[in-house]
Amino acid sequence: MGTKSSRPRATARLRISSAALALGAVATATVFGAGAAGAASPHARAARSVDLNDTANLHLQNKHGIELKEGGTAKGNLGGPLYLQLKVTSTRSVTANVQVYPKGGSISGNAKASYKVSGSTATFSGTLAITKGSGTYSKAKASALKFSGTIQRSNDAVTVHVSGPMAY
Amino acid sequence: MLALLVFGLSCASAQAAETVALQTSFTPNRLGASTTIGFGFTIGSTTGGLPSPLTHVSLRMPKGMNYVTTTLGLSVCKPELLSEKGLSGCPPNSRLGYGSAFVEVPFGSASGQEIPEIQALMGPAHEGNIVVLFYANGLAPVYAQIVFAGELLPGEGAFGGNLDTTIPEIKSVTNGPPVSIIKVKSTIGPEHLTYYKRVHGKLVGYKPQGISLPTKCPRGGFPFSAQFTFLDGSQVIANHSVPCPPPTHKKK
Repeated sequence: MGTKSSRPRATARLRISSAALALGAVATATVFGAGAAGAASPHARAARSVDLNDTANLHLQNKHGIELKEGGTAKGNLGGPLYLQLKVTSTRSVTANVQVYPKGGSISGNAKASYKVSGSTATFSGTLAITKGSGTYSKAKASALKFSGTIQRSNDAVTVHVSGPMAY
Repeated sequence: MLALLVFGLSCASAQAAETVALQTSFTPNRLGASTTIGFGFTIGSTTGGLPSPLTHVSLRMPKGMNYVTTTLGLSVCKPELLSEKGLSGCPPNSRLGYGSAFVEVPFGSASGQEIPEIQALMGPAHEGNIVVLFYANGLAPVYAQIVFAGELLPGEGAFGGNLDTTIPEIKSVTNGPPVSIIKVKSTIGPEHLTYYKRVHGKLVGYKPQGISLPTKCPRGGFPFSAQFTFLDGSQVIANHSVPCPPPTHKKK
């Protein structure tokens, strides 16, 4: 399992009184290096990070052409419903879109992986990049998470594993 | 379906050149559906004599075929067991298809012919690539069981996969000349195959899922192209396309 951490900062939920805000809104925005949206918010927080080590057992929901749509529940630091669309790009490679819905938000990512068949199972292994987040994870960022898994070829059940550091 | 006939690019123009006609099919030919791929070729010679023995075939298959969701080859057949025991040495769930071949066996001035049975089976993967084992069972006039392997390599351009197969030299008799392959046809797909699984302790037969066709057909049909290499060093490229299926009209 992974570990969550926060960088200490003056950023951690700094409360600014309304008087101070009124007097020094421009200065505050400059200090925090934020744009208009940042200046409007009385709260600021440092980027947090989490070391992912999450696994999900997925079952086939839909199969269309060269795409498998899978769903299940992720276990780990970002536990919650997880959806995976696996697309075959060649005899040896797949691409995937992943959406996970942990408590307080959602995270989406794209993955590229090599693919190989070995009898009743097939395996894939590659990297995943976070492309979008919402809620708590609206600033989620990661570019080269490890992305791997196994497909049971008889019923297209997939076990997927994601690991590596993610900032949010 | 019109096969394109392409003449061999022989090194010496005065020599006999091989000709090859390639034929391919999908059964059923329906967009998005699990299918059985049929492929076959007929080899001839511009002189009318025996063509040079075939040593290598590289069959390029259309892009967009779904090789991942097929349940063909759920078990793996070990080539050494296939050589030793024949088909009984391999699990039924390793079968991928079947076919036949027509060869000319040069015995002295005359030549014999035979039609050996061919079976295609899932072999152990090589460097991550799917391996198709071909088992040719010749009974007469040459009694020979031959195992050779094709490796499914990623395709390029309009092609999504390339079944790259090296064919061993098949001697007619010890120290005799090799036989010439004249005609081959084979399938890769669930047609006429039965797989088995355990349900409540009993073995139940079922039809495996084949390679699925793309949901869109390219203009001009699904292209196949094969490069044939012969013992005399000549190479021939033959092309063939499976026509697009007629559009299906949904009921309102």
